Amino acid sequence: MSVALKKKALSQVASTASALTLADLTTGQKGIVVGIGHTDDTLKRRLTAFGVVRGIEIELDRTAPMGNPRTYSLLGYQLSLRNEDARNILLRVE
Amino acid sequence: MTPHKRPISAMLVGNPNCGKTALFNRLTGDHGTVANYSRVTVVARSCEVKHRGARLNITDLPGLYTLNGRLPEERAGRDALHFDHPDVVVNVLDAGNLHRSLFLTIQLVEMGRPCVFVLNMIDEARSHGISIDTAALAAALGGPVIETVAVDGVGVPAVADAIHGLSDRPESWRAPLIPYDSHLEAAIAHVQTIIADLHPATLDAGQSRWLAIKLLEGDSELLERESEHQALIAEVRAACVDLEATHDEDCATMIAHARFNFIQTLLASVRTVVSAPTSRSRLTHHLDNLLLHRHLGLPILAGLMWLMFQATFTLGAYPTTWIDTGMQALTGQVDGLIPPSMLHDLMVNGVMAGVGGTIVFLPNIVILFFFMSILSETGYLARAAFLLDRLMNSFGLHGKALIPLIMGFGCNATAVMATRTIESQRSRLIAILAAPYVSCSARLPVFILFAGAFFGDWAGTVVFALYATSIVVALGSAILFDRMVVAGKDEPFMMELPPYRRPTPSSLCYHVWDSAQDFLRKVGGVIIIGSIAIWFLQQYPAAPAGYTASQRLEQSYLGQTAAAVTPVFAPLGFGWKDSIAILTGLLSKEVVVSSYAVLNAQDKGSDGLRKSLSSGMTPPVAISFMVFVLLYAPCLSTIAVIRREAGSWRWAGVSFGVSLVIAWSLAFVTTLVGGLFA
Repeated sequence: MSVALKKKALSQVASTASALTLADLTTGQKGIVVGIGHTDDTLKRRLTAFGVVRGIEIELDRTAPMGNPRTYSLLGYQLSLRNEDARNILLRVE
Repeated sequence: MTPHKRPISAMLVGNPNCGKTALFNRLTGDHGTVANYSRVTVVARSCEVKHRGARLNITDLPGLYTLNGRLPEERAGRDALHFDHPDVVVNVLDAGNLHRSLFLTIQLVEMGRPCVFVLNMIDEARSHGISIDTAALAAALGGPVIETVAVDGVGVPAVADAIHGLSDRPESWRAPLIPYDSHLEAAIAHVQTIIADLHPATLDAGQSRWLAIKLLEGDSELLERESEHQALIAEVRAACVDLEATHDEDCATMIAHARFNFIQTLLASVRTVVSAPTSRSRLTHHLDNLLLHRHLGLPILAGLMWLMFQATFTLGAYPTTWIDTGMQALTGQVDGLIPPSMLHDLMVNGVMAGVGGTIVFLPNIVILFFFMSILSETGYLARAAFLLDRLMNSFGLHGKALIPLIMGFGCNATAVMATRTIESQRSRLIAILAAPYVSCSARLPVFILFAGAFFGDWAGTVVFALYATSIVVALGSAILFDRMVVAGKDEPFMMELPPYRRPTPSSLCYHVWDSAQDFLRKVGGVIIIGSIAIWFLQQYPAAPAGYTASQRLEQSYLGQTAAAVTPVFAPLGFGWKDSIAILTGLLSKEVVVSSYAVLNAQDKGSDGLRKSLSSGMTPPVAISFMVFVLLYAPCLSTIAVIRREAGSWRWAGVSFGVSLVIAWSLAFVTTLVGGLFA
C-alpha cells in the first residue's frame, strides 16, 4: 500500500515539475530525456528496452498522415511511437 | 559418452532486424533439417550441423529487445536461455545500431552464460563512417567479438569457430561486471545474502547477483516463482522503497540508467564515428520523404497493395489452372485404377475432391508470401504500419493488420497466415479473428449465382453491397474482439523503422518455400480428414436403387442433419436444401454452389439452376442467404490455419461460434427488413 502511494507521489512530482513532453516536439527539434512520467510498468519496460532512458537525445523526424504515430531519431536509429505514449516521456530542450 | 559426442548447443539472440535469421541460415546452410518456421513467429527454429568434427545444435530464438518483457517472444527467449542452459549464447548485434543493441547484451551477460558477440552488417556500419575496435570490445564484454555480413556469408565460419572454441574452453569466458550506483550495489549485496540463505550452495555469485538484480528490477514472473519466500520478497520491497525514497526514481529506472552509463562509457572507448551522412542513410531519408509523405504516403501504399493483390490473384490464376487440370487428370487415373467400390468413391469424391479443392490455393499463397517477404525484408512493411496505425487503431487493430485484411479478399486462410508479421500476440489474435469476415474469392461464385438469379441488372450493385458489408463487419468484429473477447491490454505500439535494405534472393526463396511447405503439410492433414467426414455423411446410409441425387442426399446423414437444423434457419426463410448447402459450405464456400448443382441435378445447365433457385426463394430471402454465406463460419482450411496460428482450438472455436451468431443475426435482420419492402 505504502509502496503504491509513494510511487504515485513520485510520479506526480515528475509530471508536474516539467511541462514539456516528447509529444510537444516540433519536426526537427531535439530534446534530452529527463524521465518517464506517471505510467504503468509495461510502458517503462518497453521504453527502456528501446533505449529511451534518462540522458539520451531524441529528435522528432516525421508525423504520420493522420497526425499519429510519429517517428523519432535516437541512438542512431528510428523509433515510431504513438502520441499517447510519447506524452509520458519528459524532456529538457536546450 | 564422451563430451564430444554430445552436440554443442548454441542460441542466437538479438533484436529484430539484426540479421539473426540470415546468420542462422548461413550457419546451418542447406544441411540438416530445420524445425519450425522463421522469425515472423514466436516459435524458435533449431538445426544441427557438423563443424570441425563437433556437432553444433543451433537455435534461432525470436527477435527481441529485452528479456524482461511480457511479450510471448520475450518470455519464450528468456525461458529458453534460463531453462535450456545453452553451452554458448550467440548475441547478434546490428553493428550500425550498437548503442541500442547493447541494452540486450547487458541483460545476456548478466545471466552468466558464455557469450559470443557477432557484429552483423558491419559493411553497413562502415558505410555510415562507424569503425569498431573489436579487440577492446571483446576485452570489455569478456567473450569473442566477430564482424560479419551474414547475408553474404562474410565472417560466418569464424562464428562457428568461436562457438566451438568457447564451448571447449568455457573458463575463458569472463562475464563483465556492470557497476551500479553504490546504494544499489549495497541493496544487491543484501538481496544476494538472503538468496544464499534460502538456496544454500545452489547458485554461484554471478547467478545470485543476476537473480538479485532481476528481483530489484521488479521482474514480476521471477517474483511469482519465488513467492513462497515471503521474507525475500519483503526484503526486496523494503530495499526498493528505501532506494526510491532517497533517489526520487524507482529501482528499475536506476538499473536502466546504470546500464546506459556503462554502454556510453564502453562505446566511447571502442567506437569511432565519422559523422558524415553517407549515401546509404541519405537513400533511406529520401525514400522516406516520398513513401512517408503526408499526402502521397497513403496513395502510394494503396497503389502497392493493389498491385500485390492483382499479382497474387491474376498471376496465380495460371498455375491454379494447371494444378486443377493436373488434379483432374490424377483423379481420372485413380478413377480408372480402383474398381467401383466404397474405396473408389471415398478416394475420388472424398479425398481427391477435398485435396484438389485446397491445393489450388497454393499458387496464391506462394505469390502472396513472395510479395510479403519483399515488403518485410526491404523495411517497407514497418512503414506501412506506421502510415496506417492511426486508422487501424480506432478499430482496435494494429497498423500491420491492414495488409492481412486486404489479403483476405483473396483467401482468408492466407490472410490469417499473413498476420504473422504482427509482433504483439494480442494484436495479432484480434487480426486473426477479424480476417474471416473479409469476403474471400470463394464466396464470389455464390454471390454471382444468387445475385444473377434474383437481381438481373442490379447484380453488380448487390455484390458490391455485400463486399461493403464484409468490410464493415470485419472492422466491427475487431472492435468487439478488442473490447470483449480477447483478454489483456495492448502492448504500447513501439516499432523500429529499419533502414531500407535490399532483399536477398536466398531469404526470399526461404520464406516462400517455408510458407508453401507449411500450408501443404499442416492444412493437408485437416483437409483430408474433413473431406472424408463430409463425404461419409453424404453417402450414408446407402440409398435404395432408383433414387435421384437429390433424394439420396435428403436421406443421407447430411440430409438428416440438415432437416434437424432447418428449424434454426426457418426464421431466416431458408429451406432444407439451403440448410444442406450451408452445411456443405463449411468445407469451403464455393461448395455451396456445387451442392445446389447436385440438389437441382434434374435442371440442366446454369439457367436451369437459376430458375429453380428463383422459384424456391423470395428476393429478400436470397439477400439474407448471401449475407449468411458471407459471414458464417470460416472454411475448413481457414479454421485449421486459425487453430495453428492462434495456437489453440479454443480460438478456432471462438471464431466459429461468434461468426455463426453474427451471420444468423444479420441474416435475420435482412429477412425482416426485406419483408417490409416485399
